[in-house]
Amino acid sequence: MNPDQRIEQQVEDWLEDQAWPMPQHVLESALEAVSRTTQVGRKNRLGVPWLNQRFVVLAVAAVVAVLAVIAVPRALENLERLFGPQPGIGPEASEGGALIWDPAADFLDSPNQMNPSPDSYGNANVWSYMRSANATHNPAQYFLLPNFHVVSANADEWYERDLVNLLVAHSRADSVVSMHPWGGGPATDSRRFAILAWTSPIAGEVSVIGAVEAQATCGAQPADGHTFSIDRGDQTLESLRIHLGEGAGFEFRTTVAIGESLYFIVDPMNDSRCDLALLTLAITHE
Amino acid sequence: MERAQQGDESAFAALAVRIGDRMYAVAHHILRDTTRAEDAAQQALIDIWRHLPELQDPDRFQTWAYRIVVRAAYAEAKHQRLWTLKAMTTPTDRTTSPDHAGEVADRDQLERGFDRLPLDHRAVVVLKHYAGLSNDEIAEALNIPEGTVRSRLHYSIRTMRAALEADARPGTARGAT
Repeated sequence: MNPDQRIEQQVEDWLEDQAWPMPQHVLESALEAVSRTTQVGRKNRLGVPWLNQRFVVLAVAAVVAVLAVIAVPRALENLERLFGPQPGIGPEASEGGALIWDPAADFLDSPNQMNPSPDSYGNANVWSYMRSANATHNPAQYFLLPNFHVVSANADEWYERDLVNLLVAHSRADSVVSMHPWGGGPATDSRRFAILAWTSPIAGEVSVIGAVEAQATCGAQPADGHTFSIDRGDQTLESLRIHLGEGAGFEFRTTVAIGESLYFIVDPMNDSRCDLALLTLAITHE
Repeated sequence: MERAQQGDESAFAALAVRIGDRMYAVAHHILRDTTRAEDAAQQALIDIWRHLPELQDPDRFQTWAYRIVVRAAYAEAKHQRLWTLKAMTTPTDRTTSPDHAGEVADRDQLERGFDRLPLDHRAVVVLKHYAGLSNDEIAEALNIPEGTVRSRLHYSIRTMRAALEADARPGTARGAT
């Protein structure tokens, strides 16, 4: 049995082990709803056969109208995108599968570190580990973290010597990217964001799905958590206020051009105590 | 099955009892959330009832039913764009003896790796390794090319293998404050 087959066997055992039975109340609710639901193609409960057919005709007409106005032009665009030239896509794209970018999987550990660094498809300068000059969402004021440090056998980090604890790190044990900002306070000059940037090697729609989690404890001192944002350029697409010990997920689709960047930003808010944010992320393009 | 297709509710109730656990487990595996899995499984059973007369080949019932429950799970996932990370923050209440600690650690890492997969990748893994469908049946159930099924399976197994191997490495994670 090779390693992949061994994993597959473990996955099968784990899924079977986690397969709990359907709760009785779910079955009862479903059957109760079934007793009020007419099957497609049958007479409705009032015994008026044309009611369902008329509904179906109206629904089909609505779908056709939507297709004509929205879906057909979009499908044509997709065809053009699929069969037109797509510079930057690596060899795995030709197999027809999804392209997936995961910052933890792509993070180059010592001694191969690079900033910016390539993705797993061989595209250069896809991931950048950065900080901001102040608390303004302005890519012109974002800078690459210049220093690299091997924290432990399990963790490496990009940081800047003059900004204590401002870092973007990789924890192999947890398969996450950790980010910690600097400073804190109401004035924009008193804060520096920790930033992970993904620069798109493709043009088209991507799915962005992931989660961010704050530290659970902070000793005796108070701490106000952080704000996590996802920007495309200087436009904020998602903003999540994460308090100590909390986590939140995000999932959306957006369109990017080649060379356009998504920025994953940790803002310390009023203090940077216990502001380590653990980021799990997958960007997918099909 | 035929009686249920002809509108016999008691026949459908028997069918629902027979398939309910599998439908719920698939929804739960994909969504990783009990409440949303309950809603998805319930909706799937209702949809199966509604569309049963349209099923022309009863031999394809299983694949067809899985397609409906996966769609219900996708729809349920879209309802809630933001969610609290219970799975990441809630400690496990499982107890274990030292002899089984390694096995439990592996399962925790598998779970973590699985949680990191996009929803559509989880669906492929669940249909393959839990429901036991073949690649062409999965392609039919999810309405995607068979090549996409293979690439999603490959990526998913690679991700979970990485999660297990990461855990095997020594050392501790950094905790900046």
